[in-house]
Amino acid sequence: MNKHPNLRRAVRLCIFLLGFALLLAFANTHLIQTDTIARLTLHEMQQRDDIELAFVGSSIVRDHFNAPLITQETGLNAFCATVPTASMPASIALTKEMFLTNDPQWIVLVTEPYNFETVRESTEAQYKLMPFLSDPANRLDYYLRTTDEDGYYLDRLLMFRGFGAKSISDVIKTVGLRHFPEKTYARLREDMDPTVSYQGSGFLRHETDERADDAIRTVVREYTGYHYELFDGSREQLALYKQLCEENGAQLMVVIYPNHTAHALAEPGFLDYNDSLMAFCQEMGVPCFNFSFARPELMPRLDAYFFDLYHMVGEGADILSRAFCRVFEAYTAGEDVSGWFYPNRWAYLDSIDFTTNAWITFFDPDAPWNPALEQDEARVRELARTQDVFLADCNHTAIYTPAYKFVLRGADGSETLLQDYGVDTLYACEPGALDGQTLRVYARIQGHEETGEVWYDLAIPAQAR
Amino acid sequence: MSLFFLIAFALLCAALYYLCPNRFKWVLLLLVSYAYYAYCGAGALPFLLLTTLSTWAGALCIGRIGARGKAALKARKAELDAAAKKALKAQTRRGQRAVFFAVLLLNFGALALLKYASPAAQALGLPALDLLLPLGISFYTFQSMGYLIDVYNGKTAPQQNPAKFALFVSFFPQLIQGPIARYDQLAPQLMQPHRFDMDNIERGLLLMLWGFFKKKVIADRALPLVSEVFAHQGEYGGAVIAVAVLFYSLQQYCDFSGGIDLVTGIAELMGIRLAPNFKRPYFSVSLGDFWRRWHISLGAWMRDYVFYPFALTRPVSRLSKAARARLGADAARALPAALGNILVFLLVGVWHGATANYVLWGLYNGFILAMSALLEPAYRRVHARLGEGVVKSRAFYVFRVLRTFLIVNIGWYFDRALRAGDALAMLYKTAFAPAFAQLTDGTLLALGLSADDYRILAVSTAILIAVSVLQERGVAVRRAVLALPAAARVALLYAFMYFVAANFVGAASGGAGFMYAIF
Repeated sequence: MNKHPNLRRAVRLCIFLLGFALLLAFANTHLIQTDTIARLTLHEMQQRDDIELAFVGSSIVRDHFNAPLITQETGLNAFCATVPTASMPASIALTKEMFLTNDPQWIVLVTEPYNFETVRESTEAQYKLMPFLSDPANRLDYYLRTTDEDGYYLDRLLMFRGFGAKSISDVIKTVGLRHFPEKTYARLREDMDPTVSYQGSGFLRHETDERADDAIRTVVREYTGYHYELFDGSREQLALYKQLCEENGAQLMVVIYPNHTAHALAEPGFLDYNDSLMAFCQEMGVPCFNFSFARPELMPRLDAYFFDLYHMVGEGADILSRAFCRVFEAYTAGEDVSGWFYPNRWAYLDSIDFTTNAWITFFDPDAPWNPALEQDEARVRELARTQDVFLADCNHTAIYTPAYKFVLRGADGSETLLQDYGVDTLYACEPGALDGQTLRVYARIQGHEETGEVWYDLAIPAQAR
Repeated sequence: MSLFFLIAFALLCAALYYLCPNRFKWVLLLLVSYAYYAYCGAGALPFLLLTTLSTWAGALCIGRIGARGKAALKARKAELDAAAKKALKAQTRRGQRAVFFAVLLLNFGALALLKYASPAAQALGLPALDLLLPLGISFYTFQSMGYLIDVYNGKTAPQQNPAKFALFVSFFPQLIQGPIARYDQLAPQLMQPHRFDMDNIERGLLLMLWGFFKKKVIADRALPLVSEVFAHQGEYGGAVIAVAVLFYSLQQYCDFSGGIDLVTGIAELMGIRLAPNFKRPYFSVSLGDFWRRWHISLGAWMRDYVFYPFALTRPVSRLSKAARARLGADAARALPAALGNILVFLLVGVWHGATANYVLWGLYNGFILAMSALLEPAYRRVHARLGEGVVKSRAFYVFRVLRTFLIVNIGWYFDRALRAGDALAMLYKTAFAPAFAQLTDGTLLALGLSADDYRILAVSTAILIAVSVLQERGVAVRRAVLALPAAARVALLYAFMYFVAANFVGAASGGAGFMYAIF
């Protein structure tokens, strides 16, 4: 080689670059943050070889399918193979990883519009999953699948950039969870949020008194126009997923997760998406159950158990898990389970005889869009010439008519009635009369007063106009 | 077109280049150059071909007319008197000139049409024209026309082989944003097969890494702040605007010079040396010095093909003579340079864009250079009065660098503002309505950059300045790095490469293309 200095230097350059690649690989595995529960789930799944009934998906699976309970009820060893915000690429990678050591009879793919309406994988899910996939081929396949969609080749390759450790304790945690997951979890447990606990088999239980009411009240509004759709890419990946299950001797079942009713009312796109998915599963010959459409005979409405817009506390998870077990056992026994579900969206919507949330808007005649355009615009504009006009609205189905009550709410919680329950959505007053005060609207469905009322506060700034 | 694609493509091309038999190396370069350009946008290929073929044919024609004229002159040398010889030469020149101007008009006409027709239509209230602006059209047009002028002036022999000429025009590393190469400097290197040499590979890779650092770590990270403030200048006080202009100085320099470093490094991988385009311009001691260090190839092009030909025209000579009689020898000497500078920078301004802010930017630079030329004797007198000790002192050097930096940055207001009115408003606010409170009330963290971004930019800029200072002192940094002991070299390079890998702005964070590619 001494006779070929160029060759010697080329080899030296290759070694130098290889060394740098190893440095990056080290950073990618040790200088990153690690999701404790995702790591524990992966680790447990890799250690086990007895999984018979696997639930695959994102955090909605992790939080809502109580695998220990389902194991008890069905007699099959259940497991939740999950990574938060996972889309289809992560589900495929997770399932492949499971097939390395397990031969499940059933794979239950749990979907929701958020993580299934596109095949694009969030970088967050990828960062949490990819470093812990044991099979390099699976890792590469997953990487290529995710980058194929968005072209983020380097961002997704160099995980220490977007998901890098922020402190030494992050590094210690990552190293611990990578090499000694159980011991590290036991140590971390003391400082973790006491309202969550990893129950094993991939199930994370939430026990909190918090509920999603405030979030629903302030975040969820009427249809925004966003269209959730089952895209061709999702169909292709679902078909591929079915093939993957078949090749490994597992039967695939698809479960549509029951979102909070407010979402169903506010976003018709959810229902469109669910319909498309059901139809596609039928085409593929895959059983699909939409738990959004569950009748009360199967399970009660779960809205009261949501502690944020998407996740339920353990009690809600138990109800959903038991309902799933009933459907699963009946289905596998060859029984007709269709009676437990509303047959279509219209029947489902008819069952929603309450409103989930209401809101008020101050009418601004100069705003590019204002709610009056969907109400009695001429009347509102006429009123607005001489008065301050407030418009109330709420989420409800078309067959029910909401009624509204307007009150002035004092700082001490006292209420002064301004306008009692009626179908009029408007409240008008002298200009500036409510400046600096809080206007509250109550809403309920007329004729269904027993289903309860919801409210919303509008703090009116001084000199609102 | 992704920067990562360019790098991957370049590495593949370099490997193929050395595997290719020597006689076909230039053919390979031509093929990959066209493949690269087609990948960037196949629709732009006809324009590249038009420029290539028209310039090649025009130059060939000019060469043949010249040769025919010479042959005729030689054949009839004995029978022609001096007047007839002169008439024959003039006839030859007329033929050459006709072809020359036809090709010049065709190419600059196409460039002007594609670049200015749409904004002109909009300015006249007509509907915008949907014209494709081919990537890098300015650069390959200027490069081709430089060749044509050289052939016309007899400095370069016309290339007979259209494919070889096509390679000169389209060599992929410098096709998109320059540097604008001279035929006699680049073409022989492209035709000559280069042997595999690790010196070229190591130096090329280092330069590519440096260019990548400047572009993706500094320029793209600073971009959001610049875009935000210039787009909504009305919302910000003068102090924040001044910060944005400083960031623009950094961003523009790192974007353009980083891109040039990258393409120069790519060319070096294949043993081809491109002309330098930047020479640490922010260390300039005068505006003239700045423009000799910034976009050097365009400056040289303008100097050789616009400035000197203009300064030597009869009207300018006459004006100079008239000035000598009335204003003295110094003014007579300076006047052609002053007028030439105004013309050159007006053209450079218009080249940047057909809007008032660019015209004002060009005129601003032109007038300052013109005034500098005219006031040169006064400067000399001031320097003489200050004494050599002061003029050659470090403090005076720093003063001159800072003064030039300030002058250049005032120009950037016009260069980057969306409208001339915006630039004037921003300048006014910087001078009279700074609103310093915005520097500390959290506004700086609401301009698209996080605290981490500022930290990364601070470290990166410190590295950039340190390297620039070394280079300014004559240190060949790449050579010095490669000459370090192995352990130190590896540690230094790993540390720098890790810093770059950890902090470059990736596609997920909205990295941008090269800003000069759109010219």
